[in-house]
Parts: sequence; structure tokens; C-alpha cells
Amino acid sequence: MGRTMKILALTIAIYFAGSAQGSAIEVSGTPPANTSAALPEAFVSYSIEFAFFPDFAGTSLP
Amino acid sequence: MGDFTGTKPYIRVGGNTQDYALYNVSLKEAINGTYNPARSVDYPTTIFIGPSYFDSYSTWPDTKFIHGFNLGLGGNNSAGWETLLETVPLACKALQGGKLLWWEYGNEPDLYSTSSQGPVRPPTWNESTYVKQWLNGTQAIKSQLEKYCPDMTSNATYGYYAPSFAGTNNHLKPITTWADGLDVYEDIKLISSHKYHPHTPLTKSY
Repeated sequence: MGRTMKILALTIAIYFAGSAQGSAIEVSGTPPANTSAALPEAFVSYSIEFAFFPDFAGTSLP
Repeated sequence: MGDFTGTKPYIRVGGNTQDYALYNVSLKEAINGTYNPARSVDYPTTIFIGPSYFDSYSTWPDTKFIHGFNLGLGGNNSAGWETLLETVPLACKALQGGKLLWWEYGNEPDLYSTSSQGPVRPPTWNESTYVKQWLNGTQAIKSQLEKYCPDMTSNATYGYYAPSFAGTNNHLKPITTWADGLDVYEDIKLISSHKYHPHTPLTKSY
């Protein structure tokens, strides 16, 4: 995990053209040099509800 | 999972209850939670954690964690702010030596002013106020880390999952939030956004 890890690195330029209804977000064709890998090393992660974490993980003390 | 992929799953400790947890140094138990069915039947909404809460980070070897700090109560009252300052050293010591993946500050802040468990921000809550509070709190986190866990303050060891919105079309919009400077310190390592299965209600009513 030596690289800096911006998993999404977008070049965001929001254009509001004179009479356009919406906005365009320009994304660079190549990712910048300091992006992370497309998939995190672990690939899967789990969220455990904060209040129930001790129930899941226990404590180190008997 | 670890055997299949070569790396154990990351464990993110957070959710709605991360934004209710207040720290009580005298609490002998890891956690003391009180349910209020009018607010939620699924989890306690009055929560105190003690020092031994953080022992739970030592029971699963070779695992990386994301620890979520309290912005819900932390950003607008002194007990919550004290909790932040007091739990940063406890969390960083529990997660040193490679157990920390990244930090999180606040869960689903885009719902703070509309939460069906009871809003924790006024109707005037908006992206720029959120960004101000997030930057303020994360700078305090960094400051505590510099004091108590200085080896966890480099670009490789210090960073956040953010903004952890509940969706892309709630009260705070992600692009506005980003444009308002959420990443001005370039410490957001992963842009996080929650996606609920279409059959899971975002809010529950009883």
C-alpha cells in the first residue's frame, strides 16, 4: 500500500454553456499518476454497526 | 475470504450508531446502549463507550479496520467534541502497527437534517456547513494523532473514507460537497457512497 490512494481521481470541470439545460463534467482520458488500483487489495469489506462491534469481535480480556 | 483473495476483508466499524457514541472514561463495559423504540428499534440511540471498547480491535489478527468517529453529535455539542478528542488517541493506539486502513468522520451526513431517528442538524444544514465541520473535525483528529500517534500522520498512513453519504440525491449533494472543498487537504483516500438494495427501505417506519 505504498501508493497514495485516490480511488477516484476525476478531473472535474463543470461547464455551464450559455443556453444549455444541463452541465457537463469533463473526465480525463487517462487517470492521473497518483490514483490507486481499480480494486482495493481486500476486494471485499464488511461494515459492522459501531454499537455492535464488541458483540462481533469480543474483547481481548477474559 | 482471506484465503481466496490473499487479503482479509477490511472491516469498517461505523454506521448510524457511530454518530451517537459518546465516550465515558469511567465505563467498565465496552459499551452501554439504551434503546428508544420511538427513534429506532434496531439499535440504541443513547450510547456510551468506555476505554475497553477499543480492545475489540485486537481480536482479529491480520485485519485492517476503518474506524468511524462521531460527527453527528461531535460537530455541534461539547460532549461530542470531547469524545472526538479523547477517542482519537485510544483509536490510534488500538490500530497502530498496520491495523488501520483509514478513518471516517461522520456516517451519512447527508441525512443529518432529515433523519427519521431525529435530526441532528437544523434545516439550514447544507454542503458548505458540512464541509466546514468535516474539515474542522478532521484537523482536530490530525492534531491529536500528531500528539499521540505521530507515526500515523504521513500521506501513507493518514487519510479518510468520505463523505459516506447515504445516497447521491439526499439533502447534501456529493458534487457540490466536493466543489466546496471537502478534499482541500488531499486526505480523502476513498470516496465513499452508500448504495441500498432497492428492496431495503432507507428509512423505517413503525
